Amino acid sequence: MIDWRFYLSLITAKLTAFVLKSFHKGATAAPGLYAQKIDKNILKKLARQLKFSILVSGTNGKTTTTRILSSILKQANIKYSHNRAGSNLERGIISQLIKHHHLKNYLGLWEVDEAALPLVIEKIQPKIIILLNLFRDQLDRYGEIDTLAKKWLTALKKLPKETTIILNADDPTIAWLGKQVNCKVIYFGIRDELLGGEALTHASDATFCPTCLLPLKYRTCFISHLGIYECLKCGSIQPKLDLKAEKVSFTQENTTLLKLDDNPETNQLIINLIGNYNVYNTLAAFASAQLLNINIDNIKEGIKLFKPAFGRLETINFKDKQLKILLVKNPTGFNETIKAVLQSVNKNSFSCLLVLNDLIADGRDVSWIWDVDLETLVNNPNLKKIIVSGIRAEDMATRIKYANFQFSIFRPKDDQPRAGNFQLEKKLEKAINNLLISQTKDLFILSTYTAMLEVRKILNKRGLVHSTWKD
Amino acid sequence: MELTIAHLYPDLLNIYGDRGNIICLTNRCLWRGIGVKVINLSVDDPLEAKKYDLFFGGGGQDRQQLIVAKDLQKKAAVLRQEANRGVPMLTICGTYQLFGHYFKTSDGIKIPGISIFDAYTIASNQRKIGNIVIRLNKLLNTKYSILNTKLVGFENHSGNTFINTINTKNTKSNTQGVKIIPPRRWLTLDTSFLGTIIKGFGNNGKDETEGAVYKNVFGTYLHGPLLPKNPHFADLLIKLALEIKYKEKVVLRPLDDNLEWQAHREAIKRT
Repeated sequence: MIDWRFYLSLITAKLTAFVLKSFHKGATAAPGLYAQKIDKNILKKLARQLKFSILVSGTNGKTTTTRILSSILKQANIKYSHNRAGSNLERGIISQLIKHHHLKNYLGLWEVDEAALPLVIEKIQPKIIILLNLFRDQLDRYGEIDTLAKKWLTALKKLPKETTIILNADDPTIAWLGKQVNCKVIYFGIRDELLGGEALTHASDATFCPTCLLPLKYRTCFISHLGIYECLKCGSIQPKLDLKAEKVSFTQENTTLLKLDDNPETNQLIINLIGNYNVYNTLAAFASAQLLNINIDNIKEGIKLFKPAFGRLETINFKDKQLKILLVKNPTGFNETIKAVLQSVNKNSFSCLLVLNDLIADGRDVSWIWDVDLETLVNNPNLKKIIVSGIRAEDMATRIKYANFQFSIFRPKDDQPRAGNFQLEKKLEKAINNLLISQTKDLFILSTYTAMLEVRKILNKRGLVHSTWKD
Repeated sequence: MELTIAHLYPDLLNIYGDRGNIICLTNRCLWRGIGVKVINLSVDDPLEAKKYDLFFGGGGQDRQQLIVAKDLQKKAAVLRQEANRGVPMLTICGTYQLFGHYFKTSDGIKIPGISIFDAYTIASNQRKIGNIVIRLNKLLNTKYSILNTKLVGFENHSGNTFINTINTKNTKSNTQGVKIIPPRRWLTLDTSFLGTIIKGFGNNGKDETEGAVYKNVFGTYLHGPLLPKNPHFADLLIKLALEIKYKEKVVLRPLDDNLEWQAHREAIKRT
């Protein structure tokens, strides 16, 4: 029997996509949304036609991990469908799927929103799931991480034995999931202790043993609560790693060399990114590529050819200056971004523009900026100018004023900012101009999601475009 | 002059940017030449009386709140004693709930609090999320002569808190259908409310009240964090702490709060 609902839904979606395209509108979720309204099982029906699917989720690193994997698949000549353009909700995946005429030769590569994951797992029945980490993020939207982890677990428990989940063993909450499922589990992590710090940062979330609820003992922390840990009370320890980064080194050219323990053949990876986050992202992509039996040379080449996405430390050259744009969306991500900024300027002087919006995609609650260790950025002696903008610029300005324990931006014993060095500029276009005319050669824009889209538009208008922005 | 601030369970209750309140208090003291020490008090840390001039506790996740609830009982006697001595305390969200009689979870389990506020909290399945603006209880304006009568912040809680002496019987509707509490009641209550809702949900989304006050102990659902955007309230806490400690009237040197008030006004606009 012909499934009329399915076809009607499909046609509607295709028509919507066609109309949107004719008007040059970039709404990537709309066709999927309409299709879903007509046939709520459309995702299930479409996904069934694919060879199989890989899902990637977690608070930080979804986009980068999926893109590294996509670069590997391209290198290996494997046909795949990927929600690259943005929407990582169910409707975004549907929108992507309806673009293809025949799905049966395609593999599905899906970046999935943390809150949407349980439902997407149920509908897609993936072959591989990568879970990167769980941090506090937009609490107004996602809720607390324990709640989210429990929902994930319920969905993961239903998976058949044939499914493989690839888990970050350095995140106690994620590792805890692996101990309770029936399917296959692969653990990855970092074992280069030189990369870590001893202390937990303020933004650390899951620092308690998931089993007995007592504080975990950390030997090293790589990012926030990701590290080498054990519970002294119940004796539960980190699972044994199947894939690990033994030795990591960041180069001056903003690349990372990554040594794995395996055999000499697979030993070294090079990636065009820096920061501990991206070590995890690369490991996750590598693990899944191995699982797909992709030839090791193709994996290495795919990783090497990978180019960072918009807002993930790409560089734009402007006259004799270098402008780097970074997306910030939660305390831990912001802290890592500050580290990456300071790492990349080394000892050169630099200027910074911070843009804070509070629309739904940014998180309406801006409290989180107080969990960020902005002190390390604001009090860096090489920071010559700092500008704040965005819908909640005043909140960011206040945060910076109070980050000023060392009074390096503000005059000593005076709570007034020095006019030349600190600017509150609500108009984003003006704020960007002020940044571009800074004396320093290294310029940075750190911005939340919706503000990032505006930044991109303004820079585009000035002819400042980066090659990866087109996709 | 010098203040010692106790930060309650900073390792467990720390998810809504609430440490901004500590950063704010610290700086506003330092800018005025008032020395500050912040002591973190967590599980199993002993709490001595007369050692701290100001207490602060923030919000956290349910699991962490359970750990705190257990330990808080060991600190309850000293906290109550200090509260009665007039020591100012600011409790937000999770800590606020535990300063009442109990928190009843969705499974019907009553987690005991420390009964500083004559109030109780019941879990609900409606999460109350959004920007919030309240008008301070008039009692407070007269008692502390506060000039700006508004507080702005962001709330995110599913618990409904009810102050015992205020129930819907005490409230009646005005002509716009908004429930108001007769002014006479404000002065007679042992535990009063911090303010009335201008926009948002507040204590329970029903009786138009937000937060609680007992002596100089304040409870509220306002994150944001609260104090940096409401400098008048931050200064009230500092002033109270100094007055109790040094037993004399204190006038704080005014600071340039242009930026803080701008943030305050913008936040109200976003509500």
